[in-house]
Amino acid sequence: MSRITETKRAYDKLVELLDQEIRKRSGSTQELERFRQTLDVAFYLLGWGQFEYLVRKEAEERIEGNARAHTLEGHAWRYLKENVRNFSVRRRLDLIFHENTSVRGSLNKEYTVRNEAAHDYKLLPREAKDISVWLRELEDLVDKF
Amino acid sequence: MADSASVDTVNRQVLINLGNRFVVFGPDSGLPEPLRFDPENSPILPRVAEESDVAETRIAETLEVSGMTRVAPGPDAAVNDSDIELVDHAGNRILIDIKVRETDPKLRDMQSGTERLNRAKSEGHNLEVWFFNVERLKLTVIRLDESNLRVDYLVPLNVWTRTSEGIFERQRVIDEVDDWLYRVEHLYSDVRAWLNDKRDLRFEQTRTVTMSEEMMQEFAVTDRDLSVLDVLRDDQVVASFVPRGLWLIGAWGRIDIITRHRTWILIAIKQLQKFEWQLASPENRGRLRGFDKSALLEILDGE
Repeated sequence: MSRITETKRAYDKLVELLDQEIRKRSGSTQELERFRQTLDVAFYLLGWGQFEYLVRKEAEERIEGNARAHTLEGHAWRYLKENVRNFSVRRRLDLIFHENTSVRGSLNKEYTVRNEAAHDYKLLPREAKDISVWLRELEDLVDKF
Repeated sequence: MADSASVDTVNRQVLINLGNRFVVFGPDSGLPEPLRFDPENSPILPRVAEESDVAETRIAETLEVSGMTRVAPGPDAAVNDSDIELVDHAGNRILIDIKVRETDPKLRDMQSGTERLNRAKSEGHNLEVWFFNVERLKLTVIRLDESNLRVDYLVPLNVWTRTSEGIFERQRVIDEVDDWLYRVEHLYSDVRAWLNDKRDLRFEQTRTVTMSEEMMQEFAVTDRDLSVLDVLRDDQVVASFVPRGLWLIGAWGRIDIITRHRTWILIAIKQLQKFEWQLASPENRGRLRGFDKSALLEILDGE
């Protein structure tokens, strides 16, 4: 079980607790809804953080594997290996999901949402995915690495 | 430069493009004035991925003011480091210094703006400083009326986007929000009717949640309060219907039904131009079933 699975379980439990607080009318509904929005951002970013770590490791493994080749491309891969620190998350995602354009496109959009939440002080748009579903999808992607 | 005292600063409307959205700002108070800018006359501009990256440039390029014409900035504009120059039909000229922010102007912005106004006035120029809050769609104008500082707060009167496919206007967002409120109330009415013969149950509709979705903020639509429907047995809530959102991927709204044991998800699906409520459990969100009296009774049976 990966950390993302644990993150999903924790998120589901906390959402359930907040929902029950709403049902029991034990606080301001408006305030509890705001807590939920903050919880969503926190777990969205936590999920991304854990996913990014796994993406970084996976990309580095693939680069390392390709850099062993004694071909022309091998030189390019070795150059990339030396400069891997400058290899952005989006590029790493391109490398891992280059055969799956729909996943790549979806992650690219989600990464923009992640950046806005992390750096631009924004809440998640309501049309963003359900966080629980989103965390499960991340877990499925990691399983396919 | 002609005397600018006769420039109409009270009723003026301002059109800008922020990147993808066009916004018309105008006065908040007074009698409603007809809109001076028609979406049909707006150009189709290249769409951008991130409006905040281009807003400042787009505003300077596209800004129009009702009753005034933009002119090529003369030497006065260069002296005052202003962005655009406007002239009305009487030949009165105004220099505009545009400031683009994601917040309202801070005290230090107002102070430095006032200093600039006074300096321009002492040099015989008529300058105004315009602060655009592109996050909340507000325009704050500071200007000198004689020697008195005036601050005008302009609000968005209309917002739209225009692409080759057509125009999407603020009114449509308002209509969709109104329709959502109606659909929520209609569902509550159905729930009350379905449980009418359950004498041990009663209803309360005193709590609200605030609807403030990104689409509403983008099109300057005021936040709305939506009712929560509580179903009670004795003094205990056995189910709360909580509206969660309207604009979702693949659905036309979501309401959660929170019971003691789980939270059920109700989503609105549009089929043949009609909305239908479909129910999903948190464990299997992909499996939907129609929401009707029997589904509701099943949910409540376990409570």
